[in-house]
Amino acid sequence: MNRDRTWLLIGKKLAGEASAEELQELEGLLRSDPDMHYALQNITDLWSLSSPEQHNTEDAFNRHLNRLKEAGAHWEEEPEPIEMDADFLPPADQVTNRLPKLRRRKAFLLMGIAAALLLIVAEIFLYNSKLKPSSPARPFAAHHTGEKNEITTRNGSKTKITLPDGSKVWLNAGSKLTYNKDFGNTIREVELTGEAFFDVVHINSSAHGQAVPFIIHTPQIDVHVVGTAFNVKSYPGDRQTETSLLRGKVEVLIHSRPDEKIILRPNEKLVVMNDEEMPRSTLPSKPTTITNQPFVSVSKLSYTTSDSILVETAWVQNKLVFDNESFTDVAAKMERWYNVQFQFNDEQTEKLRFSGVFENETIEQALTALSIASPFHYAITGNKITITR
Amino acid sequence: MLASPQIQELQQRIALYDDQSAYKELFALFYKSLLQFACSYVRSPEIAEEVVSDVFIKVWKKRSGLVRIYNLKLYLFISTKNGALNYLRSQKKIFLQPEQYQVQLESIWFNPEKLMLTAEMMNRVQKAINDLPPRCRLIFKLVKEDGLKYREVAELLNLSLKTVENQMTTALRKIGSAIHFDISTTLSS
Repeated sequence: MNRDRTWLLIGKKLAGEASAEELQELEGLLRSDPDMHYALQNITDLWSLSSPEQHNTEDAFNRHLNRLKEAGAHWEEEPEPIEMDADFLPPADQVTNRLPKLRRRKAFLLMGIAAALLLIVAEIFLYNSKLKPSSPARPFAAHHTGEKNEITTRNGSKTKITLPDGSKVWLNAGSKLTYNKDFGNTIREVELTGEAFFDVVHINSSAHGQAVPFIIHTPQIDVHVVGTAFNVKSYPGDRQTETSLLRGKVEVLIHSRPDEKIILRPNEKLVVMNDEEMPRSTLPSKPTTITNQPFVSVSKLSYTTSDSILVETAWVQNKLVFDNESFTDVAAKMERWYNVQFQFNDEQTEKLRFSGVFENETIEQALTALSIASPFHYAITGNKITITR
Repeated sequence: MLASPQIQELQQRIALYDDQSAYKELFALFYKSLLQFACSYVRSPEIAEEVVSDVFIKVWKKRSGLVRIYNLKLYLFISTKNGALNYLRSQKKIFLQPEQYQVQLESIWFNPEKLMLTAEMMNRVQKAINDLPPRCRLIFKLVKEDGLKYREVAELLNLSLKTVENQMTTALRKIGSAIHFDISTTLSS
């Protein structure tokens, strides 16, 4: 008996390629040829066997990495940690040193890293109730559905991302960065909710030879950058948006004043008051102490008096810095930093002011230090912190 | 072998986020399969390793374009084959005919816990596989161990789908009759 048709169908069945009709046909063939059942059973068992050895590819991969580096490909030695501890920000010279490798990687683009550092800070945040971490199981989550890529961090964690053009982004806690699938082709645009430090590479378009702009959209302002490294913070519920430039040059466009383009010089800080339509605190009890600050103002960056830490960028180096800030503002920062929730039972305590730097302290150590500076009492229950006089 | 959605996820992580751990995962997934495949052409494990390494170097260097590759698995196999053929060309070595491919199957082994077959029957199965013509054995391996689809094997080896089907039929018939032979003799003895 010619069983080739049977074997053909068995093969297709095992390989997962048989159609419903073919499976039916095979059933029929086997019914008329019961001898085949035993062979089919054994062949099926054989097919499901996998190789006895668990191949260890570690050594092969290391040999491969050596060849990869010899071939001039860019490879970072340490796997990039998801939760950053020390050395959160590579020193500027280190960033610059990577340039030749980047250039080789994208030969069709002229790249360079402009010596510019920009920081956009919405300094006083109330509650970031609008931000819902999309994935509680992981410290950050990347979604690439449809036309947009979205990276989110939950409170208590940060992450570092490399964008398709080679630009690096450090995303602070409770933040979201979105960019289009076609990012980098003719224009580089990202949307930011929360806070991020950008290290943007300079790219000249292969088509027209002009610099490809990099634009950060926040609800209140757009920041146009051509090769710079900077930090943007725009949490929902913040009272003001602050843009601080360390080095280089950036242009800031304020949405509500489309005719004004503000150019920042190094060491300058642009403060834009968020308008009334901005998402605000959901807690009505929060003080809305509107100062008589002008809508737009430019001032110098602030350094801590004791050790000259630049307040605006301290988070990138994993430092939590307060510079004569009210307890309300301190609590808002700590909520994001430690992923906790503050509850004040006393209005006077809310108005206490603090200065200080925390680096590796636990929430408890930090609260103890603060309570020594200005007396108050605290109780920690889970991630809830209750402050009393 | 991974299901293709998982390969696609690795592919996206590498292309969009320069994800080094995803790249390492991809390497670990395909290294052995590609090494054996390259070896069937170049017949030297050392050369085969270089061929496969070159394929992965290209993947990393051109990672941003990875999203445009529709079938990464097939792409890796075809790149490996091209790399192996280029090596043979550069060495002015004669191209091997498919009849000369050296292919070893690793997944056919005696596992009494998983099989109803005896060790002796298993030996006969092994022999049947080893006696398969090399091209037939390669096709069987690519489908069974590397999880390639018939049409992928056809594209990879420049064969018609019909030929792949026929070769698979031959392989299964021979392995099957090794088992079947055993029943007949067992029953008649």
